[in-house]
Amino acid sequence: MSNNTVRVTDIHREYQQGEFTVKALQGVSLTIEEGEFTVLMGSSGSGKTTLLNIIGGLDTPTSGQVEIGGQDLSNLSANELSDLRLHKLGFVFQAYNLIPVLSAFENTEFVPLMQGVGVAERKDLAMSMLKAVGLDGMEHRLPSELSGGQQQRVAVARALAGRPVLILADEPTANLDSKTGTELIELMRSLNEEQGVTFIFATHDPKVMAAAKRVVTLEDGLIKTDERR
Amino acid sequence: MLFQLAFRNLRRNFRRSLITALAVSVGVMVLILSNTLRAGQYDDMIHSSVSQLAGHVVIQHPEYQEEQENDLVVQNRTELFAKLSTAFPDATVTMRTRMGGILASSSAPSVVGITAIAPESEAMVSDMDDKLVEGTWVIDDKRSLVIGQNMAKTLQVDVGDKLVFTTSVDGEMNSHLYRLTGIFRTGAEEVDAFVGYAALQSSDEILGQPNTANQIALHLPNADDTDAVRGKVSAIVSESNGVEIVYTWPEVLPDVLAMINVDQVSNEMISISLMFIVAMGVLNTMLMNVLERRREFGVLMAIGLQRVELVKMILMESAFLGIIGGLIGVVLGVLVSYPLVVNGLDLTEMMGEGMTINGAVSSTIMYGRYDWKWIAAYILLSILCSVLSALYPAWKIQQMTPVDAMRS
Repeated sequence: MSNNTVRVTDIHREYQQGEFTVKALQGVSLTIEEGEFTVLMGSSGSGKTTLLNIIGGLDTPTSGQVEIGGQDLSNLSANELSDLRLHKLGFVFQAYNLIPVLSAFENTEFVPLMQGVGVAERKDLAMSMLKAVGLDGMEHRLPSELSGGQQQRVAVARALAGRPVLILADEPTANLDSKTGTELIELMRSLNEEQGVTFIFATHDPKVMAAAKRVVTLEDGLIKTDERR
Repeated sequence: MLFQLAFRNLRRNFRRSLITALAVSVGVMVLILSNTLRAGQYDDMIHSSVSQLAGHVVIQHPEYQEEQENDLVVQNRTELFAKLSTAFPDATVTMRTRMGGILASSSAPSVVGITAIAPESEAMVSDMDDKLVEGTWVIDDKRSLVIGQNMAKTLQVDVGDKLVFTTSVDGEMNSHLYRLTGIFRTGAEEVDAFVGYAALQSSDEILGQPNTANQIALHLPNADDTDAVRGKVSAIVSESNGVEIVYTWPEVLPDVLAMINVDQVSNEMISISLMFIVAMGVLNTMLMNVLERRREFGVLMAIGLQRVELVKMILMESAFLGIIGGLIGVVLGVLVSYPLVVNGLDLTEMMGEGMTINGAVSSTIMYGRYDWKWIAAYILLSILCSVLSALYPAWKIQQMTPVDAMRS
């Protein structure tokens, strides 16, 4: 097992919805090695977003264990989890979720800033990430001055700027047109190839599935298929 | 970055932030206006009571404060006056003896309270000599008497007329002949109808206690020196006389301080209520701010910002509102109070030319005074109120999990 392997063991997640108990995950076990480009597929309600959130430490499983690089997430305090997310994980969300009052540059710079990276290095890092996602020259624009595709690129740049070992992306192409979506997938794939960053997607976009090295299909909170390419 | 974020978040909803800051400003403005007026009013109350009824440092017989009897006197007034005048050349020394009795003219009698004084020094501290409408101020003569206009009307007398003052001394009736030197009008009815001023030479004769006074007082150019001067005066008094006690003005005029204290408490209650209303406004804004931005907070938490940092950011935003509101409020408060400080608030039409507070005549034109210590405190208070009112929204953030926040 390499240093940053993600290991999920027998994860259950139940929600209480009124009188009913919703079983979002019913015993999922999965190992994702460093450098993989994995897609979690499945229809709405299959549990893919829940699994992604649990891997990212944003949600807590009812039972089971999540380890990232050998570190058991259930043993971490809220602050330690924040620290883990800050230093090891990057997130890309369906709705971009940029900070509306910060420019593209400032959004990208935000994570390294919180990590305590010095001014000069931070600036270089943010600029190179924006360049990598094809947004050089737009760094001073606010999210409201960017198109959906451009905003999602900033979100990817932000996720990368923290130099994470793992990027979790939840439906990153859902709000984008086909062409922009394809460009974004190609961008992430090349980052995966060149920089060895592990990607885990939750999506039902066939374009993302086509680019994946591994496709895990979920159904009713269970892994149905796990296919490597 | 948090600082920058907080500031930009306020700018994002500029109109709402401005309205909230203005609510804080109006609160601070009203507090400053009320405080300025009160500070001036308290100064005037203290000044008129101290100058007319006592002094900053007061020498009296140990029992005089309680009993107020004529025979409870300070001995050797001339020597003490001389010593005190030499020791404190910047201060004014007054000497007073108070006598109650009946003043009769050939036409009518009237109840009177005569204060026997050293006319020159009295004129320097009390402005009664400026209130003369006829004749002159008291002169160093045992016959000289100045009374109020209302009493002069009752007695049907004019300057130069003779008046007989009768009082009881040791159970015997004693009479003394005065000649009216002057008539004053303060505008305060009870003073104009019952008060008279005469020279100490007359009380010496009437009471049969030469070279004495009920009260010898020092009026200092700076009231802050009171306590320091008291010690030195005590030394002089114990060396010369021995039995008398040296007081400071709050001991001789406890009612004035009590009145100010009661007024201050009621003022503080109103201030607290006002700031509470302002704090509710800030709370409303901050709560809206936080609830609207739940998703954003979820994202910030997801990318690694700790909750405590988010709480800091919200408290910072709120503190900004307090600082901006407080500063605007100070500018508004100082500007709005300025006419009161310069021209005063003229209540003559409503209250007449003068009013008595605890027996001292005060002007009915009330002047304000900026109390900068309080003005600075109001800025801090507005920041404190704003920060306190953000505690509940901050607590709401503390309860959020990233997933729930982002789901909203």
